[in-house]
Amino acid sequence: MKLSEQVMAEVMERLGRVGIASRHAVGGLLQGRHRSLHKGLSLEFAGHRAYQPGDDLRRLDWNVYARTDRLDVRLYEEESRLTATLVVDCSGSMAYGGEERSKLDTARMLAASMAFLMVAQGDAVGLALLDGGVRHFLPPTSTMGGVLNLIDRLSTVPPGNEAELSPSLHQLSERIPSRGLTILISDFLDDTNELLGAFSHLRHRRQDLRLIQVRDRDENTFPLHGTLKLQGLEAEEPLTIDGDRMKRFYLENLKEHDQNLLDICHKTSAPLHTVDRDEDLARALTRMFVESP
Amino acid sequence: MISLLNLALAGGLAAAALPTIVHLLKQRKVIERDWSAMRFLKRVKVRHRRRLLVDKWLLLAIRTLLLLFLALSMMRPMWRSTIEGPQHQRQGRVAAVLAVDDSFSSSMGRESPALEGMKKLLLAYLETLSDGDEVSLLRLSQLSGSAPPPFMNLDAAKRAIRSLTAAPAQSDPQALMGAAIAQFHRHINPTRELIFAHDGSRGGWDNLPRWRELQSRWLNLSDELPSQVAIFRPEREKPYNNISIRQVRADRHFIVPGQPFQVEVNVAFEGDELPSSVRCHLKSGDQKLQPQILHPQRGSGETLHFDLTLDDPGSHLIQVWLEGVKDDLSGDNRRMHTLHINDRFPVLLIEDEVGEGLGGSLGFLAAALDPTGEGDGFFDLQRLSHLDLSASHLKGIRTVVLGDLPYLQPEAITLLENWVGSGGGLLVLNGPRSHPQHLESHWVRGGDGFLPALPVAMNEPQPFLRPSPSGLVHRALLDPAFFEDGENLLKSAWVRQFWTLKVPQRSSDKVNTVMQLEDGSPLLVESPKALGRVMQIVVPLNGEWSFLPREGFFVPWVRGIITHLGSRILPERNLQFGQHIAWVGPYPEGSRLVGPNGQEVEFKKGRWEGIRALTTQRLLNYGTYCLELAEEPHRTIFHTLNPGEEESRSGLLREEEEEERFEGFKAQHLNTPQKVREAFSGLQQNGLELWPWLLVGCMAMLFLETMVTGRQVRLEKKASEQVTP
Repeated sequence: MKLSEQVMAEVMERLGRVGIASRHAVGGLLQGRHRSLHKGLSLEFAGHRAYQPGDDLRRLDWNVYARTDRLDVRLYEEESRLTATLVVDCSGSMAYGGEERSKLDTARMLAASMAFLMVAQGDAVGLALLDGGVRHFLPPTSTMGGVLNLIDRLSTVPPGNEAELSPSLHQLSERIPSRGLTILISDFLDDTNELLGAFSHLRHRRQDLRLIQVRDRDENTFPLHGTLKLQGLEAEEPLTIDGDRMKRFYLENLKEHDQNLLDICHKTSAPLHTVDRDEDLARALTRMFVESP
Repeated sequence: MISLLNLALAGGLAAAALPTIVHLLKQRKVIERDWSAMRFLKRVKVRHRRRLLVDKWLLLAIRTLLLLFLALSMMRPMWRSTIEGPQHQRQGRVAAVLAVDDSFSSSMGRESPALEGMKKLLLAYLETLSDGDEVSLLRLSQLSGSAPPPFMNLDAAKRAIRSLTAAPAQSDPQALMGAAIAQFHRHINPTRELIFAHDGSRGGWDNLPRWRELQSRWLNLSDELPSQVAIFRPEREKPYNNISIRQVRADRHFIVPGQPFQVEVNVAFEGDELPSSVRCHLKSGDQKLQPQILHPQRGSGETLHFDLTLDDPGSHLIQVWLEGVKDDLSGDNRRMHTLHINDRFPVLLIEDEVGEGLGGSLGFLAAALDPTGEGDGFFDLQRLSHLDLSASHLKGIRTVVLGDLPYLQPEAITLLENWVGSGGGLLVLNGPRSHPQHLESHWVRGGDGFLPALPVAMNEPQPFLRPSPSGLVHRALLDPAFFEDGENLLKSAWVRQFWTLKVPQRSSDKVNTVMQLEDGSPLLVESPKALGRVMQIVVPLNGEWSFLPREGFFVPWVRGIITHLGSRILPERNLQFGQHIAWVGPYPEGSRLVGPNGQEVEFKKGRWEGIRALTTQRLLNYGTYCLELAEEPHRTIFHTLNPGEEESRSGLLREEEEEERFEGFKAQHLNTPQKVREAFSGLQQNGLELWPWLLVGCMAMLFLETMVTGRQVRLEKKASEQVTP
């Protein structure tokens, strides 16, 4: 099954009315549901778009409906379009997980779902795949064809090798358009000091940052016992450890790491959402964008 | 200098390698698996490398030390300033085994028994010990049970010694010594001291090879650790004197109710002071005989005779005791004896033609058994033609005599064989009517039949032959005359004709010659057949071929043979120390065996002489054992257990004899409490045992291990709780 079909079947049909909004004013040229930076302009008609569940019924153009039997919504100039960039960490560590669904699979489905949602509400969405650099970058598009193209790219990208996230983010900061929404999907098991620099860079580029952390349950509990030869997913040298002895130190460090991550999120005003690798994605998206917009 | 007192446990040191082995095994078993956050994990590992290493090696070291300390403490390391010194120097705590000969003879001594003197010596020895020393008390009378555990408390050991009493047990010093040497395996203290306390009685000390074997066992044991042996033998204040009843016996086996018989009492005397005014009493039931005054001679004993008549058949107990004796050993001044009175003795005489009086082939034999012919004697005779023999005739019969028969019907042969096999006695006379061919094919059958040997040729010696007077020792020849004046008795007992016998080669039963003629030809042979036995005489006893029936010895001779054949051998009832009581008859429910102390003695299923029987454990208490059979009429069967000659006629062991037996033990011979104290009080410990410190170290390691692992578990739990899922 294609990723787009899978997303439609597993996520979109169950999502209902979910809108992804920027918490900051965005400066788009096209109409959208987001507050525009261009103030003082008259309420000038800008065009139509198809009705989406959740749209204000007062904006339905009944004349068009009478003529064409289509439900279209009127768009006005004072509402600006959101330009979002979905950034997916494709490094080797994201390939971890069960045979059914890896962390990267979860990230892909989350990204695809959000792309559908944003294009459906008239926003433009772009894609950046990071793997030791910006492996692919698709500029923002607001058409469904563009989104399908984006999803195709998303579904075909394999997990990469060595991948520090921060350098890739610095690189990306220079390529994405100024002002917009950046949704970053990763496990964020990188050096937090480096991450702080990268997030600040993005914020400097006037990006409204949203972080989605995808974690496997094993990473939180470290269920390893005995002498283990751990093989990394990023082509590193294997690591031999005593699982029982290492557990305490791992968990202590993980706790410290998570706390640091929360701190830098706070500093950069980037809300952090955590998603389990095998979590129900419709519910996760609802939790992220409805319960805590 | 440190030495190890328990080197045998050196193998325990290997236990210290266990944690390392477990660690290595754990490291060898590596599980490979994928992991995602490798860079993160590497950072954790690098950051905590030192703590990880410390935790790992600290725990390994703690666990190794724990086991090492434990193993070392079991090896009993001892620090000593020097290892030189006297051989018997006490080095460390003492393991003392007190072997006490509390046998029957330890009650020896008029005013103060020998055992009391032994107790004083032992108590003096215990005073030289201190807390922490171990003491085992082994009593000769209790060697048959399991070995007692050592006393760890000296007061308890003293109490046990004070409560010692002489036991009715037979002296066996070698067994006591062997048990004492073995007892050291139950001790852990390093300085071994074997104290052997005995009464000085000579009984049981003669087996020199066994003493040498014990010496080598002791030398092997004492090679390992400092060891010494001390012999405690209390000093005697007065010369040794003992008068004892050594034996009581009746003059015959078969005693008839109402007929007097003689009881022989043998009294022995040892010592320097001749006893005077000593009277010997004999009693059976309510019947008490006139006592007899003893006239002992120096260096010899005296035999007394009592005429006794017992009117009732059954088991009787005879008690013999001495009055007015003042000797060292009072326990052997009384002796019990049991005997059985037989009522009637049924005998079946089978002839070719039944005769009257002296007629017939068995007329003389019948007259010898029942001289009056009125059937009121001991022997209850029945004469029968072989043609009339049936199973009912054999019921209750004890002996069957076949008098020179030409043949027997097959049914009769089968009947007789079955009857003999179940315990009957059969006497077969061969004479002119015997047909070798018939006997071979039906009575002998190549060894399968009931006849012990085949008459093969009839002899007519010239001159005539007489029975040989030598070798007359068979039980059947009970009359003392056979032993005392056999040649005179047999000088005119001529045999004119007789059968030569041939024992079948295939016979599985042993054929014994009981009497033989002067030329060596068998006259009377005997063979066991299953539970019964068969005797065969090569002449008829009717005067045709010999003068035997006309001789004076004929009556006791045939009576002896007939009663011997008909007396099923029963287990002995006058027993010796360590023997069992066996009961082969029916044992009615509710019956019981009561010992001398009034306690019931248990019977268990066993065997006696290859026959199924009820048997007791070895009997160790002297006295009378009453078997009360719960049947109508009520019967009591008496058994007695008396001191053996070793106990009651032992004399004193000379000092040089004692030293000879303990030569290889390098023993000290001590006979007064003062000498005991002098010998042992100066032996101070000059070493320090390190095992308590090692145990403390072991406990400390255990505490540390618990602390470290507990801390790790706590931190791990805390870390698990705090991680955001």
